[in-house]
Amino acid sequence: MQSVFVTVGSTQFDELTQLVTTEATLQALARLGCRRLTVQYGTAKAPRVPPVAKRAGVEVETYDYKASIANDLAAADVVIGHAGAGTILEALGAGKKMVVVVNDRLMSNHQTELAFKMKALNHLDACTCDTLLHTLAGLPARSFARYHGGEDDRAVLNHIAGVLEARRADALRSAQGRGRPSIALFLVAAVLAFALAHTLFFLT
Amino acid sequence: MMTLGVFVLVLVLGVVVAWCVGRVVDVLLGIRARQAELGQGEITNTSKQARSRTALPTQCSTLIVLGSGGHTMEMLKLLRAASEDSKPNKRLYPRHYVVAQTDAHSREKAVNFEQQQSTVSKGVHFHAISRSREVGQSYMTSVVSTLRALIDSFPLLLRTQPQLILVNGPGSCVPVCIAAFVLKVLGLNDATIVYVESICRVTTLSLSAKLLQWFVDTCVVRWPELGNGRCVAIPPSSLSSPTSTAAAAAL
Repeated sequence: MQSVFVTVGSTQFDELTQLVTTEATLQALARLGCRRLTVQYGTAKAPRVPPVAKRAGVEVETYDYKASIANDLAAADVVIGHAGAGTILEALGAGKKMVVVVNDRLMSNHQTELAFKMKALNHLDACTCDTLLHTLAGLPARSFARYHGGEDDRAVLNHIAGVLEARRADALRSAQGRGRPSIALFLVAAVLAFALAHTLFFLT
Repeated sequence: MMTLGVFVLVLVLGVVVAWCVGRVVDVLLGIRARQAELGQGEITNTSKQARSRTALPTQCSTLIVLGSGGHTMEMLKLLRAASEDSKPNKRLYPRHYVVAQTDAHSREKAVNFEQQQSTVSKGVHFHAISRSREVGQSYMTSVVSTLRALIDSFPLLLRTQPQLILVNGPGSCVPVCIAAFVLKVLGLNDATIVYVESICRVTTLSLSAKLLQWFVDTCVVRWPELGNGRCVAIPPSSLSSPTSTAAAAAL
């Protein structure tokens, strides 16, 4: 894993962005063969890069936010991200090895649902800040199942096309008078019939 | 003995009420039939026969409701797949994007996205409606703003006359779908309403889905656990394809 990209989207996840720039993490990353670390830290405060980075031979770049992280994603071998759906789908879509770091300080964080589901399907690994180093150490030996998001979208679109065609067929059938009988017409007819019967009753 | 005037008034009112109730029942039954039919993953023979006789239109006017961050991202991901489709009627143009007035971010993303599409401009329009609920807004005031969004939706739908309404769950899609349902009952617009649940929803339906599953022509959920009689589950291909599950099992 030559190039590691850490991203937290537009969230504030100080614990993670500070953790990845500590001396211990940088040295661990260097031992794992990391030469380049890019940290997108969002609304958290900018992490301070310790001098040990240079000695360990890790080039560190940090920035707060970019309109598109696609380039950094493409350049990375490993993506470390928060549990945001956008980050997960984008990283898996680019076919990257990914570790999701769950922010356990956030209560009732329903976004983690997707992260754990993807972990269960072996598309990525998930951990907390405490176990990040351990997870990273095991990463080179792991192989993940490829996630084909584009195919899933095409399946949804085919379903939509099917619904459109079926409704068009329905409209055609009712235009030819072969559709379902209309309850609206039946009720209107019933009201009119009642009114007629009522009138006749009073006239006679 | 009723006077003639009162009699006529009651008669007219009765007819109107009967028609409205009947139309609501009709539309709901139609939706239910469609959901049940497609829920089983097949289209019946009769509709296949009918389909062969209908010439497919080359365009499908689509109204798309964009919402906050994640929803917009997922919607644009879906539309990217649509733009790349080989069949023109499945590319879903012309597109009418509906964005909340205060949501410049989503609009900007959609503008960028459409500029990237290789398909030359097939008509991309943007429309603003009132925001139905700001993050953190109180429940009572959000009722008022949702009503305002509902009122905005009627002229919008009547003007654009979409064939397809594509929503994926931001709060502002609820008033648009309700308005579309009312117009369908009145026979003023017959758009097919499609709700696509967010992939983030793994174990429970979102509030929007719980509400809208009764009114939309099809409700798509992305995980098999969420499929019910109304919502069709279209799970990730990795769940069904034997190669990747075998690979996952081997690990």
